[in-house]
Amino acid sequence: MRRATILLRNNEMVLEDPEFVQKFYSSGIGSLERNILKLAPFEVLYLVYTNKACVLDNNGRIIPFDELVRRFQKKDSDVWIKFMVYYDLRRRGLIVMKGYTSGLELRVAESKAEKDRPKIMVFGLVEGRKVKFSDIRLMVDRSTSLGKNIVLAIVDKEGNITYYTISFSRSHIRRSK
Amino acid sequence: MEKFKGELVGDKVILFDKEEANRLYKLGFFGKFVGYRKVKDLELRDYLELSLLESLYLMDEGLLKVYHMGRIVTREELLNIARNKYEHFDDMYIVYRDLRKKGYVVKSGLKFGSTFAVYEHGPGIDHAPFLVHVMPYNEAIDPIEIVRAGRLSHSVRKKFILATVNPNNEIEYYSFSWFG
Repeated sequence: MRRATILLRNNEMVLEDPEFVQKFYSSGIGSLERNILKLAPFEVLYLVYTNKACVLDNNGRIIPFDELVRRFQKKDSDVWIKFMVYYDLRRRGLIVMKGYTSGLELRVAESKAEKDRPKIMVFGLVEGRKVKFSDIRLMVDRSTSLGKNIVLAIVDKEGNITYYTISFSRSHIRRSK
Repeated sequence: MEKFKGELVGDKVILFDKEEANRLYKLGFFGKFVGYRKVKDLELRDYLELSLLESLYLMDEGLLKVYHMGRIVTREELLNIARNKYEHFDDMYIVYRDLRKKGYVVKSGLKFGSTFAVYEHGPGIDHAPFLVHVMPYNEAIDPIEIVRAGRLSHSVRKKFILATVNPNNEIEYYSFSWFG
């Protein structure tokens, strides 16, 4: 099977081959800008790991997977976790897209038909990395304001991922007499 | 409305009048009859032991007067005893009060591993209470707590809710369900 070629251009990872641009974009991978597909590091790792693409450096050399991980990690220490969550969700047959922030955040659609209006926001949490209630509240509020359901992806020490949904309600404090 | 009389003994408030005790228990399943683990007969008459949370709530509702060695115990005194005894007592009380005001029967959830076991009708009437665990807002939680909360809900078939009081005078209730 022919693999797509991802190019490194001005620190961005892009894909130009129209066939692959169309194919990947329709499954929610990358963002489209003037017929060029721009990819997030975890998307690149996914495409390379699953043998769907390779990455060429400026000299036309294929950058191996491990080298990509090391390069990406310099800019984002969470890139591996993002890749793991992204890959896990993809493996479940879901359409997974970049989130709105650079945090551990993804948008998920359950079918291609839903791709343009994904119904789920996935936030990654890592065992041992504590979260505040205010962080959880922020996630809840963002998902609610975007009209999406929230799912937490909890990554344990071995890289296993467990998913939880949150129900949230609030109540104003009744003051004592 | 009737004002019940309790005696502060250590960190408990005891109703020594067994008729009063019976009426107060029936009012909202307040307290615990001394020597009875489960109450099946609502006509039970015995000494009734109230927790500090219950006592403070009943005091705030104007239903209870607490005495100690012949003198009245003020709300502030009771609150100080509770604050010394329990970390985050204020948060616990705010959540307790909110749930009571919503009409729930709120009892200790210790045996389930939570702050409260909450009943729609009362212990012995509805079988499965939901569990509410109160946590301080500023205390960061390990995601493993979320998994525990979700798992516990699943395993004991009781909804497990984390409650916290935020600085904007709101109580936030969170429940987590496994999403496969």
